[in-house]
Amino acid sequence: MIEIRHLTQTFGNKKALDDVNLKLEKGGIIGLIGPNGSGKSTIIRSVMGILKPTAGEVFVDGKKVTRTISKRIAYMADINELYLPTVKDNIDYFTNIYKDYDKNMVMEIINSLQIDLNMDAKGLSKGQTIIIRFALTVARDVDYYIFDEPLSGLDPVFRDSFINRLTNYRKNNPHKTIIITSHMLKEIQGLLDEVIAIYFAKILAHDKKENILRETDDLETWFKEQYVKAGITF
Amino acid sequence: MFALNFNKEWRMNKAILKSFFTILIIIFLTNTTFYILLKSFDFAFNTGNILKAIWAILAGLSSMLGMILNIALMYFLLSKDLGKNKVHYSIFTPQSLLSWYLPKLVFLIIIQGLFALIDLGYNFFIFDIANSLSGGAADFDWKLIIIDYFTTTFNIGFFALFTLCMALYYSFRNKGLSWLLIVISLIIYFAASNGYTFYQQFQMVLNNAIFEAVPTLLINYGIKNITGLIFIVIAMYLFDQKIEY
Repeated sequence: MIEIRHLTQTFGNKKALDDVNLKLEKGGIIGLIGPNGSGKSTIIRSVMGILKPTAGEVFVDGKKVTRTISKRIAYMADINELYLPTVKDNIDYFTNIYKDYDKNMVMEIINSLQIDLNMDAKGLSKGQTIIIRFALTVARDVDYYIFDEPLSGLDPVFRDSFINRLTNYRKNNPHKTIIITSHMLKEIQGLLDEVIAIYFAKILAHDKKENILRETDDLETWFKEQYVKAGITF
Repeated sequence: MFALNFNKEWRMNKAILKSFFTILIIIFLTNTTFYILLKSFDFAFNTGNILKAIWAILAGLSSMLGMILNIALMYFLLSKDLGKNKVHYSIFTPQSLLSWYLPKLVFLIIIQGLFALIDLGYNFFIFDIANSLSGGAADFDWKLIIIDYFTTTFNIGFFALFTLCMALYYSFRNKGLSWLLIVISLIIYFAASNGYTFYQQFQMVLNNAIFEAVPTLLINYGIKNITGLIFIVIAMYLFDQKIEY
């Protein structure tokens, strides 16, 4: 279980997170949704031990997080970490850092892209980069997987490809916990089991998708309703 | 993990390291050519002096180039891992920071060592030519030259300063504070690394003191590297604690 207690993150005078409390049980796909700049990535970075909380604490399976939490959580950041010269260099490097990799799975996914492994990693398209990073994330044998804004900037073909791959992965690994952040509610609606709505530093709502869809037509409508309930106007 | 990071450093910096090795070979060949020319042919006095002057200028330039390239290498080794978009995966993995740090130092020491060897070679060539002209009267202080070679090669002070500056830059949300601490670190390092030289100058002027060259080299080396080690420990602590990107 991931537990966040009274988490506050401030950057200068700006509060990126304000007394956030969350409990995420194991299993399923959890969507952390909200507009750009609402604090989604800050929550993720706090869970990954990258940001030290200004106040509050984060626990994973009862243990307070430090930067070594990456041993137990596979994380696809919102930055492109394929920074070594060729595609092969990156695959070799990352699959050797973590001992829990299924290298066959990495290669199976990457081979489906039909790219030359010796090509310059800078020459990859955004979509190809995301699928390679997806492979380097899901091929790890851990309990938790976090994807921070994986769909951002993707063209529709690779967006569908990513969603299909994640859906298939989830089918084969129902006990794993997957957290995905996005502001593209329509696109990820089909994927999710649980939804957390965040709006500028605060959690607006947190519920199972089945409960949400019993009351409203789609996540976007529900998300807007949460704005209204919180007294947010545009 | 060390081997993994060593391989990564090589792959990431292969182009720059190859060009450095090419430059080193060119400088070495230039020195050797001048040496063979001056040793093998009996040039007229003026021609020989002109050749030696040109060689001295080239050797001076190559020595300066060595310093500049060492600084460039330090910058590339660090910035490729610590740029805004790279810091996450270079630091926040379960690999030890020491295994992340050591391969960079190994590459730096190799390059520093080769440039120092070029300088040492030049000094030896010059000595040998002077010796053959003076019939063995020239004095070549091997002990001093070798100590100078080792203290130049295994000097990690400036690299440690670089690392600390980058760690400071990425460790604080308030960039004004980062820059203030960077400036303070620079002042501390340069005060420490030049402190003993200043002390000697004062002693020489005020008390006519005389200092031996070897202890001077060793003391300066010790001060720079102890300061560097302290900086590395602080930088690794900062990397371990918190990096903002």
